[in-house]
Amino acid sequence: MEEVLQLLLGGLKIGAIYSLAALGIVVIHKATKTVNFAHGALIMLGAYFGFFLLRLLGLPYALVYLLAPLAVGSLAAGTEWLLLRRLRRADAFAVVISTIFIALAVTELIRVVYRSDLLSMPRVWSGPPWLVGDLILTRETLWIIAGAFCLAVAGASLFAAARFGRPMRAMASSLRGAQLCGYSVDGVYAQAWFLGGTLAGLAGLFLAPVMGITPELADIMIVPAFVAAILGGFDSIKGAVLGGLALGLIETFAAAYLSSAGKNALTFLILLCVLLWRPRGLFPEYRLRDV
Amino acid sequence: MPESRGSMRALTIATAACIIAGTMVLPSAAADPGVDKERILIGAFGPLTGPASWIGLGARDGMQLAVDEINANGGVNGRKVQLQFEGAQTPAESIAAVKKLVEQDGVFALVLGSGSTGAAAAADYLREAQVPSYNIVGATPKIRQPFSRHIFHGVFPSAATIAASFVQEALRSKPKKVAIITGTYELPQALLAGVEPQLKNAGVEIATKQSFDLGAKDFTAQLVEAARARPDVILFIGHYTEAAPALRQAPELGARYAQWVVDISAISDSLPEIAGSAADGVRSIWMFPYYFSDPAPAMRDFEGKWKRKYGTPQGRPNYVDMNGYGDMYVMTVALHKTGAGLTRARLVDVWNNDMHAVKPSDFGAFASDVIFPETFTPQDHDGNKAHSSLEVVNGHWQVVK
Repeated sequence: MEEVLQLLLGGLKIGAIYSLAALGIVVIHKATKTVNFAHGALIMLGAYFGFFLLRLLGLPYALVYLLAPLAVGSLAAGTEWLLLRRLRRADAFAVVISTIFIALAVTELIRVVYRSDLLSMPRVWSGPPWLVGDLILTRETLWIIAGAFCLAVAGASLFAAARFGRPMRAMASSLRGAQLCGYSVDGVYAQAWFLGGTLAGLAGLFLAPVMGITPELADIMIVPAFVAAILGGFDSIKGAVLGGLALGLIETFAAAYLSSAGKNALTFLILLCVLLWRPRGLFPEYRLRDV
Repeated sequence: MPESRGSMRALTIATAACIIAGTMVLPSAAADPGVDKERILIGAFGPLTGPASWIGLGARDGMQLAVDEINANGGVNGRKVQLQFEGAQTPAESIAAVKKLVEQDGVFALVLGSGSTGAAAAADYLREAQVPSYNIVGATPKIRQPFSRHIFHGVFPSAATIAASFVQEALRSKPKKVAIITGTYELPQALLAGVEPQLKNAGVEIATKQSFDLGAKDFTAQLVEAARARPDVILFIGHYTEAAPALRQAPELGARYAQWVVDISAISDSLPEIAGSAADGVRSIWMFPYYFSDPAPAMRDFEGKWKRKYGTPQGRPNYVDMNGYGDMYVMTVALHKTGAGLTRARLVDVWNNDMHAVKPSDFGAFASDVIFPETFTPQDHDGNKAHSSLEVVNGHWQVVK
């Protein structure tokens, strides 16, 4: 029983990070109809910005958690404004290819500066773990589960309920309608990319102390982020959060009771089933009825 | 008239024979590539990008530091050493790099700074090409067997020797049961092949054997299985980029109560930084006499020189930097002993017969002795078999014996 609870904690820990990552992809897609394959690179940048601010500038963690995601968000918005805006009328394929190459360029640029050295960041909350019987709850685990999950919920609320998200909700609902209401397409798109980038930066910050920081983080995170988004529902804000948690649990239990290879196989099998039988995801925003 | 035709035929045959004999003699009389009055061109390759780039970057930077020192102090018998390092991440790239260095760039000798994967890939070509080659960081048996007169091995001994030292370290805890967590790529598999039979011979039960791919970051499956087996010792065979996240996860999955012994490629300052307190007490073997920040003059001298040249990137210098630096000097001692009439054949002869307990300061007092002395014989080309023991104490690696 302790083993199951321990695995549950591990699954929720990585699942909370996946939630943040998936939410960023869904926010950008909902508001701009863009599938952002550069999202993994944005997550990686969050980790590297955090390292730079914490280790090299010596800023406190509280400030790092504020500044690093905002920096990534600004970079994402800038990328949309400078590069992707010009492709808005182009084929969707062109936009997808552009985001892939932006990801590659950013990753290689990081490699030029930092090479592939494994960089480290200290735990946000260190100290002895709590023991509940044989169950070990480390402070880091608690911080990541609580912190990442709360921030994911906050990000979701920002989009779905707050005034800040109103233009993006309008754009998601109807581009023409939003324009007629006076919303600037350029402004709203930049806003969506800013929010998506900020969420990616946060995911990178939570991930950095756990996995270490290398350029490979971009490749490591892009697949789970997309899988979580698709599992939850690519157009569903709550689906992204719940899909991330679900994916974290599936991966962790599959790894423990099957194998590492089995974990990957099961994840993609579930994804395939979802795409075949519930293409709108497990937690869609709206229920469709046949009339 | 028939007589003159016969003598013409004989003359033609004799001339042809002379030409054929001449073409057979001429190549060996031509100078070896990569060496002239002013320079000696040494080729090297290793991964400069990707998850194993810490090997290639360490080899390149360590070797270049030595080369710069050597040239600043007059070079080798009046010749400057020039290092040409090719990036090669995969086995296919390693073969391509070696062929380019030998056939296109015409290097005089080669250094393999790639680790076991690249060394194994290039092994057959190197045996055929018979270019003097110095494998400084590859433990794989594929570069050692079949034996070649032209291939020598530096700081890193064979996987069998490392495995024996590794098992010896593990047996210090007198375990009854061990769990093995090992990478699926070249070096871990080569080490595993040596570790398993030695553990069995020592009467130790291998409770479970788990594997992971290069660059893995999540070890839930492996650690849960290891924890279930309740071993006394967990042997982790993989890079520090994998060992660090594994150790970090281990306490949460109940796998940290056992004594962890990691292999040499897991040794890095990044390991205790990332794993935190979970790294304390972890042990390993170390192919050098000193660890970083050791107060020994040779180590302080080396680290000072390295940082003045390259700055202070995190996790550097790593052991491959020391490896590259020290072994470049060993090669230079061999080049120096060969003398002014430098040919590949003479270099190989010297390396086989006149290299006993060679250390960097044998070339000049300005060199830092950060490796164990190396000895080569015509039958045994593994220059180093010595090692020390390392343990993480309060977040830092220390030599304990």
